[in-house]
Amino acid sequence: MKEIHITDSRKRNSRVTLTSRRHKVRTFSVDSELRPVINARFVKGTLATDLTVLTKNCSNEELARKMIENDPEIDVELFGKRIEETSRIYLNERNEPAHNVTQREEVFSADGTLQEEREKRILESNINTECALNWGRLIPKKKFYNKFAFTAAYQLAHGDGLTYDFLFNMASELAEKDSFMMLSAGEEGNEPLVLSRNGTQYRAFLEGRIKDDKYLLMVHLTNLEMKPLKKEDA
Amino acid sequence: MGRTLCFELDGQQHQAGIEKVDRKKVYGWVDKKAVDADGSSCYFGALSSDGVHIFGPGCFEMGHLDDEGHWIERSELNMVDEGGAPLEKVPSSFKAPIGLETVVSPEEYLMYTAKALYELAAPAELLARVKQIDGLFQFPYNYSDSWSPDTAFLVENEDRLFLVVGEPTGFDFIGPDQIEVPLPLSDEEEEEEEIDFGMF
Repeated sequence: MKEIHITDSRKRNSRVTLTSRRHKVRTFSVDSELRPVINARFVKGTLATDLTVLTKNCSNEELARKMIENDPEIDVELFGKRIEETSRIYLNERNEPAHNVTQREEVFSADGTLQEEREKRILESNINTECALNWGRLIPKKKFYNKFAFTAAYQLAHGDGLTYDFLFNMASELAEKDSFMMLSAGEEGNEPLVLSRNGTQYRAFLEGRIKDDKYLLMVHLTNLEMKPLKKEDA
Repeated sequence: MGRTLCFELDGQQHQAGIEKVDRKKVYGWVDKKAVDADGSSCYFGALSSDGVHIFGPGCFEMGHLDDEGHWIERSELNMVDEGGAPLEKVPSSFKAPIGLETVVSPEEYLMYTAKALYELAAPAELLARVKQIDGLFQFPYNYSDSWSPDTAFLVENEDRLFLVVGEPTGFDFIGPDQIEVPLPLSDEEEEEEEIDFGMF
């Protein structure tokens, strides 16, 4: 369960549930007689049969000759074998398991220029900290829905009668004003939201709707503006 | 612009080139690089569960088996929905004109998240018609032939036309008695990060 710590327009704060989408269109593979088909992973080769390894100490011509003589490119024990569980490991340039691995980051600009090399940055989740997400500024929905591609969405839900009132009132206020409310994190209230540790940074907009005594409060998340790709066209 | 879509509206056809709006092209990106104690680059491989075999990228291939373990060629596959009803393969949207008949409200559009965003090189007449209507055009969209087409929308912003490929959120109104038991959220892992999002 994920919780979000949020403030309303009256500066009251509460922790409420953040739910993900729950109705995904699901399709299933079947054979020509509509019997179930499973997807499986098979071995094509190992590092020992990889071209880079095979050509390490011999020329292409020598390898060609060896391939005719004794098929070094095929591991007859493993080739075509179904494989399920494997462990993900780091390999070094010599194709051996690597030890004491550290991660670094290379930052590139949009034109592909390397801007910076740095230690890996850890982004902590910031939606359920001591500092509740602030009730930010309101933005008219109709003027704004076309400015960003909302790449993810979550729904706020109550866990008891008190949080029902809290969220219903929030939805009601937003519906009445036909506006999004910009949600930001941090003490200054200007940071993008990070839902999970090392997750994507998103700008977030809260939308509220009501129908009788029911409400719908959605957090629309975006990390992509709807703007032309080419600067000269902007 | 890459491929071209044809939209049909009021008996007229409008050709529009599409180009994917990729975050990398707009904001840049961050590559993660792993190095070992000697400072040499590392890459991801896989170790078999018995610890005997090491696999590199490209060592595996996916395949399909029936319930008795027999190999099924990809071309022999069919699809069914959750109820087991066979699905028809729908041709790519690039193969025939897309009829612009359904107009939905921004509220309906906001019930979808954007799976993909494309910029359209649309003729002025199409752009003018999109701006004119009260709402957004919605239509089924298939980048390639597929069993379950997506839902797409034409969205205009500052005299530019975009195609948003949507995925339904499935959210619904909640009443006072509906105490939610949410599904757990998966932890996100990202390979790229934004380096600039300075619109505020």
